[in-house]
Amino acid sequence: MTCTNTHLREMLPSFLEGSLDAEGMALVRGHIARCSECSDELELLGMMSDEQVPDPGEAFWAALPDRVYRETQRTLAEKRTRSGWLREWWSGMPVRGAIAFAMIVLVSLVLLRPAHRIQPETTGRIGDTTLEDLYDGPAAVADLGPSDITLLNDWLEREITVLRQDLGRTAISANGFGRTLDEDLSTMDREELDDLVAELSRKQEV
Amino acid sequence: MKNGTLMEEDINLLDRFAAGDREAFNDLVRKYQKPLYSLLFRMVSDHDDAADLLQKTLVKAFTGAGGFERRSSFKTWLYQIAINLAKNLYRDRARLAQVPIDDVVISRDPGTVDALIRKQARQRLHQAMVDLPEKQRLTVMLRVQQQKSFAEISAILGCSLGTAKANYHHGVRKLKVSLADAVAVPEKEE
Ligand SMILES: [Zn+2]
Repeated sequence: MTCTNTHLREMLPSFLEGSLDAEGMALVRGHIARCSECSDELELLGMMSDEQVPDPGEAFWAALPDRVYRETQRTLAEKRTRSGWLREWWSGMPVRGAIAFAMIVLVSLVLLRPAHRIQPETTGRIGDTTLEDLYDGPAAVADLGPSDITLLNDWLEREITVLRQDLGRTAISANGFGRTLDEDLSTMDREELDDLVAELSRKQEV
Repeated sequence: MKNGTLMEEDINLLDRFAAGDREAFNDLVRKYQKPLYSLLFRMVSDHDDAADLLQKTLVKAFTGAGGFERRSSFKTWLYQIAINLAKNLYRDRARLAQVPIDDVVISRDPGTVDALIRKQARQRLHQAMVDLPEKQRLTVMLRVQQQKSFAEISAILGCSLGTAKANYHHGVRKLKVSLADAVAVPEKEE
């Protein structure tokens, strides 16, 4: 015989905990006296809830709040300095951005050879060289050979390095608090980080 | 409802912690450390792992990772974090097959044949639990071993009340079958 009283079965764990009201307790008691299936189920549940978890001991419990607190503070502090956009901006802008740009240029060179013509940027020198130092006048990308592309790649890399060094040297000192971009950002407080961002933005516009 | 005041109490403690009250923080940790540990231990069957996950769960909750919405209960959220961390761990290690059962079962029985049979039955039961599909295992564990209501379980596991109950019934039925099979074999041999 299969017991179909699912509602009563759902009461069994509460019966086991003794958390039913008097009426509920009596109802379940009455049912399990008649229904072997439910009384088996109750035994099974009892066995399961009896399964003990070893107690790590009072010292463990007493020390836990402090441990969690320290770790929480550490994580929060880390979060604050790392506050997503800044790190993204810093590591993303000069380095990743330029590399992505270089990649796009190179892929364009290879894939879109006949269709594309790049007019290289010849004003606004940022490093020691411009593309004009490599070519006389605007270079037609379609005319570049493999060695030219290597040359272009090297030039880009050099420019990126110069740009980074340049930013690192002068961006912050203008503001007079003596930090450089090579320093660990996590050692800076909020104000310093704001100044850093402001300087970098200004630099970017110039 | 009782649940409502409990929720408000936690939110109140969280607010006090946010305002710098260290004691409120300690209260919250003390309130949930034991039930969370026992859930985690049951999931990973190892003290070091359970202790590590317990700390991670609490830190994650207090640093607001994942965004706690105050409409729901902090307790439910803690359980969700704990379960996810434990799932990740045992998925990483795929180690549940070799659970040290004797560490888990603390026998209160005297050394009789009956006690031995009971101990064996417990071990089978433990193994049968391990073999249950994850949703069913978690549901039975939360209901029977963590004394969570079906409503709480549906909130923790993010399923409907009906699904929570169905998972419970399926799980318990499977446990009964595997236990009956296990007990039936030695009886036939006698
Ligand atoms: Zn029944």
